[in-house]
Amino acid sequence: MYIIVAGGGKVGYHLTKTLLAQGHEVVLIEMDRARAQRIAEELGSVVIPQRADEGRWLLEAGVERADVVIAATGNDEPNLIICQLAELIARRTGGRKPRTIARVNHPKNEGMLKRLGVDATVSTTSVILAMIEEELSPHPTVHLMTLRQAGIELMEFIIADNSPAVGQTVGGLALPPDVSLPLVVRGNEAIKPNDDTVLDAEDAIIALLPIDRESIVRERLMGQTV
Amino acid sequence: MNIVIMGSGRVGATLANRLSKEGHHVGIIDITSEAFERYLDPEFKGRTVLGDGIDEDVLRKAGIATADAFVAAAHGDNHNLMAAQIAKVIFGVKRVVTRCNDPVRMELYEALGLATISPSLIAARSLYDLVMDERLHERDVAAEIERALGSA
Amino acid sequence: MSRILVPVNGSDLDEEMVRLAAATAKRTGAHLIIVHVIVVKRTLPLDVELEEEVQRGEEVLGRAERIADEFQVPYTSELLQARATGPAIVDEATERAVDLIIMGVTYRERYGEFYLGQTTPYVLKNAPCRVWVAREPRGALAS
Repeated sequence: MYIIVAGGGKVGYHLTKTLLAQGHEVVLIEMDRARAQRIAEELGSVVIPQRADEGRWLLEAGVERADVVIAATGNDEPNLIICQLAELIARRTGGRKPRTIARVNHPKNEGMLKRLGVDATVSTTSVILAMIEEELSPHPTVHLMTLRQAGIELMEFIIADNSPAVGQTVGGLALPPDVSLPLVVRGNEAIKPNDDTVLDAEDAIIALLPIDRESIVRERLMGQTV
Repeated sequence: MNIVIMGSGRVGATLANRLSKEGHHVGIIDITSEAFERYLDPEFKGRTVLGDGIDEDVLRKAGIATADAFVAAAHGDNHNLMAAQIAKVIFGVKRVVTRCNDPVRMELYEALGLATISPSLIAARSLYDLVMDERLHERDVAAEIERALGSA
Repeated sequence: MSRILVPVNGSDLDEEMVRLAAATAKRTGAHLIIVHVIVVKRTLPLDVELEEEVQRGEEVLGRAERIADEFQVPYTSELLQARATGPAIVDEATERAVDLIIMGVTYRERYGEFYLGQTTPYVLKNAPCRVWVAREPRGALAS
């Protein structure tokens, strides 16, 4: 497949690298010249150091022969426009319509982008929420809204080097029973922790907790209170 | 008419002031309140709404549901184009005008039925006309200024 | 020295550069590698068949080969298709463990200033081996 990735941040870069490794033809459009150059030095001549939201660079990338266009910048508006431009240009040049995928950074925009013609959207927040819903499988339809109404919040804690939680097991933290830790992100790996999971510095811990438990969780995980 | 304007910079606010003075109902949106204070007339009678114009709730507060026209006059082509499409597609606003500076984007979105204008192209055209206007440059401006100041 | 790479692009400088490379190869007993890169736009797949460009490339290589024959040095000539010339030259030099790249630069201007282009700086920065760059005289721009 021929895939155009717009936006060479962490998401776009790893995506490009993975897709290339899978044998696809990929071109990455990244507007920051220094960043584009660094990526080109590692991955070869697969980078166009320009703005993907300006139609001419999608044209130069050969959007009319692309199978997929992925808009992966950190902002939702350009991601929408990139997907739409890809489709409009492909239509104008008589090519076939590429499948468009947009990264959504603000969950509120997810539905909107689809209504405005983007084929598929990917939201990190939604992915994490889906994992949590899976975790709470007896009630698979718990939504964020309901959580809010129930006075529960979803938080992320990054474990610092000097935190008392480093080397500690989840069970050993002795968190209140109404606090749950559905997910630990370590490097690129997502771990479903159990009581025996040992925590490490720089782990990102996703916690689901009643709002009034925030300070005790913060203290146990970060070694400080607010 | 009921008109919603996104962006209370020089362009958006100047338009809002004029429409309000003419008796239209204007709702104007910006992400900072300083923009309202800096550019809107104290006599402005419309509604000011703080928030992002691509947020449906913010648009509703500004009166999009009953708007006859929507103007996307913020900075940033992408932002304007997204807000304009929400006004057109989601709220069914009849007249939608968008500020957009990239000629390629302009052309493609005009094909989708959005009216777009480019302030930079208009400014360049006006500047060209002025530079090329022979009559203007035949006048001795320095002498005129001197005379005007001398007589004051 | 065992291998010298000389890229040719069909410009007036080709002959001079190939002569310099061939003379150097002769003196050092090196093998000459003559390369022409066809840049394929992204609107086309990389392995597309570009008849016209291939024919022109073969002519450009043919002229270089005749010079190498004249100097009686062993050579290999190669036609490459790539997205950009610089990386193609560097990859070729790396793969063939070349000791020296000899390349010419035409005198070009952009926005009224001397402009080195994209290929030469890329090769200078990234080539693993020694690189000799020769610029044509300035007057060549006017002629």
